[in-house]
Amino acid sequence: MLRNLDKPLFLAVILIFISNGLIAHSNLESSSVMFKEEWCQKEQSETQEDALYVKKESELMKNTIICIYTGYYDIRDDRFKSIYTGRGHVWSLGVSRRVFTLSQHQIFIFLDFRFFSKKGKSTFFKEDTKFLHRPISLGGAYLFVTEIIIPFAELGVDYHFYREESTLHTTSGSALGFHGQCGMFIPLPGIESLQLKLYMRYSRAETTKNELKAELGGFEYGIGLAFGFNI
Amino acid sequence: MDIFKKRGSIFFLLLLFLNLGATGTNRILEGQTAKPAFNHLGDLVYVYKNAEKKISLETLKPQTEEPSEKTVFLEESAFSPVIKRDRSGKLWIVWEEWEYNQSILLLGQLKEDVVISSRKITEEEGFNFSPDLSFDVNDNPWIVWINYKAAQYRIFVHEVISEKTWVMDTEIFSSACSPRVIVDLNNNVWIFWSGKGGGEEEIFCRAFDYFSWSPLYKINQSNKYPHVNPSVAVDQKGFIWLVWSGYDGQDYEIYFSYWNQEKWSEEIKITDNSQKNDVFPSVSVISNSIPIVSWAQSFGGQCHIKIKFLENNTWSKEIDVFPGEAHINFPIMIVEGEKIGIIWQSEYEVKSEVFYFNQLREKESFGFVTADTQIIINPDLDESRYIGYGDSITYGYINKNPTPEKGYVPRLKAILIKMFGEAEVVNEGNPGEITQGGLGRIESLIQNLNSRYLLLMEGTNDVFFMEISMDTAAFNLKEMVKKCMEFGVFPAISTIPPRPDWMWDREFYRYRIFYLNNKIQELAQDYLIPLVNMFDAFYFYPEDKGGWRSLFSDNVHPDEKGYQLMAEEWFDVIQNFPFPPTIFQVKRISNEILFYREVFNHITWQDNPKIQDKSTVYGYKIYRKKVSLENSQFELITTVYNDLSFFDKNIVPSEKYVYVISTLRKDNVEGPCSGERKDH
Repeated sequence: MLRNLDKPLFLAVILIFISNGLIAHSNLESSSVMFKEEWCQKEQSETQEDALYVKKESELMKNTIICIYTGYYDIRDDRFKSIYTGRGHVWSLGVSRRVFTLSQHQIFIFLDFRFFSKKGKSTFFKEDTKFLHRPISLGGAYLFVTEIIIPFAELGVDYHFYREESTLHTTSGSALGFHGQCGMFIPLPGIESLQLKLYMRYSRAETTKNELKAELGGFEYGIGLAFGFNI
Repeated sequence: MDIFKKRGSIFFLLLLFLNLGATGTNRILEGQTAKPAFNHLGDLVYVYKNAEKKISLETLKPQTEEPSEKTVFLEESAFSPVIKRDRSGKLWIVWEEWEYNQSILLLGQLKEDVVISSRKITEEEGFNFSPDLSFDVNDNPWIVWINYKAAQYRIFVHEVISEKTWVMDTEIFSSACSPRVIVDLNNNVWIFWSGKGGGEEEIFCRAFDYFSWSPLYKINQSNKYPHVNPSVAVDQKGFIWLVWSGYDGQDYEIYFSYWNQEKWSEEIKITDNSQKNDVFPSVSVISNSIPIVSWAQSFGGQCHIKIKFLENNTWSKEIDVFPGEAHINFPIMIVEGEKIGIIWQSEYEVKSEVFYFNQLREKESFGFVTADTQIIINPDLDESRYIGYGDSITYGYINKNPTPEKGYVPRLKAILIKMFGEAEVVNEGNPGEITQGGLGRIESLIQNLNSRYLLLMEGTNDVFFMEISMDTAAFNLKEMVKKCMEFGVFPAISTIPPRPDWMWDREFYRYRIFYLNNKIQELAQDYLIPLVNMFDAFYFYPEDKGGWRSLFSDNVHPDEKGYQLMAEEWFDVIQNFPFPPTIFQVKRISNEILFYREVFNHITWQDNPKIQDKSTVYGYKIYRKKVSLENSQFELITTVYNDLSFFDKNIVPSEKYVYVISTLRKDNVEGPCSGERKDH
């Protein structure tokens, strides 16, 4: 499987994990000290304790997040797989805004722009063909905010713009679909506004063109960086 | 098949001379860009740029050998002159004059070789070119041309009398070409051109009724492939006939459409072939109402000028007017009464020819037409079975006694078994038979014997009977060949051998043998069947081996040596038969990307192992018919060269097809078709 991974991406993931691990280990002791202090403060004042927790969670997850991430997109359509063999590389740019907070529970809405392209060959004459896929997603996400990881789950609708270019024929169109996604944000110690994002996503979007039906959705997984800020 | 090439005999040349040469007039001159007209005397005149780059005027008078070339006094920058005759008989000339950064158009009248009353037509800047000229009912000239300025092509129309100029709204076109103008019987001015809009080039037109211009008409149906080179004529009934050349996915064909004073008809193909490019059409109207179309057809490195005419709602066959030249460009046909003039460019030469419509009709009725493809198909016949068909020489007689076991038939069978393995040769020699008898029995015989091949040699007895003309004997042989082909039997024919008796010594009988053998050779060429020249094989038998007379046992029958020679001669021809391909397969294939699927049939085959000399194979003809159309005939879809597979993309996915394939020899002899293969 490693051979199939994009090498620069793989190295980037490894480096981020290693650096994250080192920073986390070096801060472990001071972190535990800080919790002891907080516990003492809790005993002193309930009001002060609540105020402290709210402050920390809002700092862990800012109210606005811009996220860039990349991953592998495996369109599940069998005909697609026979023409555009192997998984494709997807790049995404998203923006999220917190709309609801209850203690550690937070709700965000988001807008994602995704970029996917894949080169392939026609089934018999092996003529070059290129598939360009530009889904735009709108939806909501639930986040459970903790200090170490922030798991999330989201649901959204997708509007898929696509174009297939080939000497055989060129087609473009659009299709409506939906997706579900889950994953986690991992705060990067020492860099308050930056978080690592890991995700898995499953989408569906069926379309028909030139009397040919195709499923543009599929399974996707990847990694990214989320930059959070409050406005 | 070009009959002018394949007929080589003196007889044919004589016939050809009688048919065309006595009345046809032709001329070859060095030059380019010629445009013709008939003058008021009915002579073909044409202007062209001569070898000295001057505009010349040539008159082609019947029975005149010498050129009458005169220089028309125009500027040296003059190009592309067009001449037309108005209704009063005056000749008009319009031409281009080119400078470094522009070109203009000028119009004048042509009196003898002098241009009078010349005037500048174009006021538009840029390059003005490709003019065409016509006259309304008052003999006022109308001119159409193309203007190219600021990377845009525009069609301009100019009425000379009013000096009004219109520009067609051609902004939507990325190019415009070949503008044509014509005035119909209602004095409407019609403009035609080919232009490129959304797809490939198409044929467009607009009409002017002296008040306003009509909307844009698109004449051709699809813009998937280019449609170019429009030519237009109007008949006495007011019908406008438009022809053009369009690509049909395989090659260029000739299309036509007509205006019935209400609407344009749907496009109709005049030609429908594969591997032949049909281009540069030119249409005129002859006998007031018969549309006649000429065009250039190229095939196998040779170009021909073809003509078809539409009479009683039926198109004539393709008539081969001028045979094989390497280059024939832009043939233009004009008509004056019953007289037809054609002028064309062949490399750096301008060639012209004048002939009459009745000559064309004769050429059609005498069979001077492109032979239709004769498909030989019957999958039920036995590929390894041959019929030896003829008279006593075929049956086997020695010293006037029947000896079929020593004739050529068993000897040939032995050779075939040795070379091909399984083979059977059926002896169908009928002693004493004349060709009439042979014709009478052949049909039932080929139906009963189930044989793929027939070896025909008959006529020796006809020579003896004065009541039978050699033309009749040749006709009977031709009919036998036709019956074979219709039934799917592949025939080979042989000339008759000489005879060492008193008849040979009399010139009259000798002449009959020569004449019949000439006819047999013509027959083989006309019907594209293999020929054994048994006469030459006998007559030129080496003297040191005894000479030709040593091959006979009596007055007409060979001896054993003679029969052995016959068997070997037949085999020499049989081993070069275009046997049908084997391992012939058809598969329905789809080539697809995610949102597009093209469905086609992939046809593959192998050379027949009996063909030992592959260099004789020129290609393969593939025929097809739809399963849904019962009783439909197989139609040729393509000829494949240098390949053993073909993708038939021109199919309807919901239809089912059946294919057969034949081998084509380099001398255009086409073999019998293979068995049928389905794509389902």
